[in-house]
Amino acid sequence: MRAEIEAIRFGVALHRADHVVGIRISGPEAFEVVDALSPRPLYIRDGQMLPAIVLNDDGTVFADLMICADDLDWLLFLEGPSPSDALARLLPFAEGLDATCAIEPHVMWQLHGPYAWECLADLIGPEVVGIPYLTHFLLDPLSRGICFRSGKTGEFGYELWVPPDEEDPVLKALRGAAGRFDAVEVGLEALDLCALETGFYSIRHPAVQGLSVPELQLLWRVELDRDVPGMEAVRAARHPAQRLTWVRSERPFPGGLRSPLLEAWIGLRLVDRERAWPGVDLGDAVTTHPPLLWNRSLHIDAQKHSWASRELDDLPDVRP
Amino acid sequence: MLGHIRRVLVEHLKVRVEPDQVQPDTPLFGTGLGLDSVDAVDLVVGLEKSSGIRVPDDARGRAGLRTVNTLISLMIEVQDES
Amino acid sequence: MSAVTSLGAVSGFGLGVDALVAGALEERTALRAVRRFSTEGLRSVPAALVPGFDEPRLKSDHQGRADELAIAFAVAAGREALGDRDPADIGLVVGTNLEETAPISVLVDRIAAAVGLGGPRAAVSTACASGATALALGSEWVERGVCSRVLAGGTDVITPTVYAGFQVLGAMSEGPCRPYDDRRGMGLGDGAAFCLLEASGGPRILGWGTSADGHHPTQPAPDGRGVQAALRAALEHAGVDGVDHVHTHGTGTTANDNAELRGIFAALDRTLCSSSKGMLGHTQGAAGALEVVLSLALAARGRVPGTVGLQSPRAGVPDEVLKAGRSRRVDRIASTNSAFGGLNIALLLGEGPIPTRRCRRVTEERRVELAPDARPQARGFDPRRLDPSALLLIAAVNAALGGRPVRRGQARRIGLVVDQPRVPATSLRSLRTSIEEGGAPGLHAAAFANALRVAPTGACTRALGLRGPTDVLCGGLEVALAHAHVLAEERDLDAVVCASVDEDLGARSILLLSASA
Repeated sequence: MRAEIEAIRFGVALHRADHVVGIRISGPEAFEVVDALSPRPLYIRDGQMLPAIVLNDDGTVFADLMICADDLDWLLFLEGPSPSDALARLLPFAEGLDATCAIEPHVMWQLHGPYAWECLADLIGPEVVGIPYLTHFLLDPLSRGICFRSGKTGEFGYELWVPPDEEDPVLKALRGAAGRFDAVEVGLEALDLCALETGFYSIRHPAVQGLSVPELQLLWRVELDRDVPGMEAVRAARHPAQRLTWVRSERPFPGGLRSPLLEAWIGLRLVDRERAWPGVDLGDAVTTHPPLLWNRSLHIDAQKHSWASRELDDLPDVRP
Repeated sequence: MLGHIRRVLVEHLKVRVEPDQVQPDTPLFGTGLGLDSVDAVDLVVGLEKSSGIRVPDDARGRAGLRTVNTLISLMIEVQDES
Repeated sequence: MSAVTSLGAVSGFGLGVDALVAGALEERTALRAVRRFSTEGLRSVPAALVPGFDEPRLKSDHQGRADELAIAFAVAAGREALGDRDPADIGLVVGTNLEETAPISVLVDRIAAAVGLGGPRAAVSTACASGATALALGSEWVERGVCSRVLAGGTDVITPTVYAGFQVLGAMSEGPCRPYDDRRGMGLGDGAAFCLLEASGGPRILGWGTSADGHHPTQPAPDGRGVQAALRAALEHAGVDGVDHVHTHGTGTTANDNAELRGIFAALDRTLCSSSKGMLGHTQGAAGALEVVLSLALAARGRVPGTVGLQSPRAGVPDEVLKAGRSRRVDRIASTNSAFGGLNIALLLGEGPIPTRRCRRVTEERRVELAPDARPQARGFDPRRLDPSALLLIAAVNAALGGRPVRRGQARRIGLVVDQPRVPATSLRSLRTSIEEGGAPGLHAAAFANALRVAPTGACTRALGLRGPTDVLCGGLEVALAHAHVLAEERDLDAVVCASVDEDLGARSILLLSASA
């Protein structure tokens, strides 16, 4: 696990994201379908991405959702449910509308790390460096697929979304490019720990199960006056008595995960609102706030820094 | 301090959420509230006008602009230093 | 296509093209301490203000003074270019980024009157691209027979507001401006420059191209795609595939320089290039024209300029970006500018075969009129943070397009010509109020970025996903529509939208369809 974390935080990490379901909505009324299911307004254009959620009727989270505008189509990425559950949940929104809603059978390979941009640039060209966060671009000519720049670890993160018949050649090229970065293939556990360290929501974390959107501090992903299924419950739960807060301890505690880089145990806990501020002693842990460490990627200037010069580049320590 | 920040975000920057929707660990830039570099300038100016505390224009300042919580931590630090 | 038969300039080096050329040949900088107004509350960053106008009379509330200076600069440069010729039939196109006190048409009329110009006239305002846009429009007028001779160029003045705005935005350097250098930041400058354009008799304006980034209000698209598109369009319009030198926009900021080079080298192979902003500062509305005048004056002497101020190039900046000027035969040059709002322009000048222009069939498909309170259906953009002018323009352009969303493949194939004589009033008010209340350091950055005539057009291109040729003129709907017709005829586009916006009166828009003849 330590090697995986180090690759994510200091180098380049690869991951086959089998837990992500991609659903494509296309057709003349594709916008109307997504507008009906999205808890926030679709203020994005071709090439842009919008973090959102799919709500359960009771205001809890059914799926972590990333909405991507692909020309006039919409590509939705869901984490949490199985592909069939995800499709079953979304299909009703397309009823009666002139649009198709179907699982896109592509494969997602992710790159993470402070030098992920450099690896990707080796693979597809230097234009990668200029791609802003939460945008995507075509992988042509490498593949018919798409490259998304998102990532939930706080480091550079890219997702290659590739048709199944192209996985082999793309992966071969990717592994070839990744070789010089001592890239490591990492598991979801390592990625989720990095997400926790940085402050990103992970639907898999035990502490988030069954909590309402306001409790999860995800109000930014919804607009309360939009009447999508589940929003009324979110409105009702709007001023929760408790809030999910980051906690940390030098010793293990229930629900805590060990962070090799911080050399401490970290976790999430539902805390009464008055005490849900950093620095409160809960007995077995102390409240804190993300980010729990400094992301190396924030210091990387693609014009100046490179994998080859990483020792000399005098980058700051990740520990605060 | 939370009040100052929320006020500047909603009234001055015209962020399109209710003040109480700006939760303490919500990211301000990139994702989250989705502010950009021009907003960063106005946020700092607005905070100084509202609270009297000036967020420094250096690496520490930029790191502090990440969430409301990081901003509060930084502003308290800056206030203590002066 | 037109020929440049005479030049005139006023710059940080003083009055006249000779002063400009002398400064360039000696690789001096005109950036120096600001004496014309107080920089209290701000860092004192050098600027290349036109000397001889340094009486401390210009305060924020003296915008009227700025108008006087802009006219004075333009008249001096215009008269120099005019020489002894009879001005009676000569037209005038003026590019400027000045905030208004009087309507911009009054500024143009006063310049015309002072120089004695009797031909048709118009202003253009595409922020940092204005000077170049004026040259392009002027060249089009000559080519199209609107008038046989045109004085085209730009003029601008650095006011305390502009100085404060760029500083508050974090764009200005600590010390002197150093384009492409490790030390980042821009410097400002003032001045004016004009070219006399006629059918023949000098180096030609072979072609030009414009584009919209559709990316951000103040930052250029990091992949340089807009600059690349503008250059490609210019090369295609001119019918050539290379140049001897590119005079770049090169402001010195982190956002501009590398992105711009990416775009330039994607359109042209590694070609020699340089920026003059380390010498003249960023002269805003005059920049494009002043830079062309400098390029042409040096080319006539067999020289290309270097990049004054460039000492230690940033990573990724190749040797083709010249530090020092050099002697070489210069047959053909390109000049590029990138503006706030994401508009880009490239001009192609010099020797080359006479370009053939397309003559596509243009039909007017639709005319729309909207009341001043018309608002677009928000799809793909957040309306709540946009200025009312921008919303009105988006509504008008969207209606002209039939309310249908623009597909990715169409983005570059739709042109946009906007007639925008007035600076967006709400943003301008917000900007002025913020300065009144908080002084220069309290300037509202978002309002500064939006209080430009180009801003609603930039917002419209972002909102609707338009990336094709884009221009902002200030001469009335008919002038804009004539220009839109030319674009639709000459360029490989599917359509051109022409729109005119007035916050009090409403908006009008026209959809022109273009097809092969």
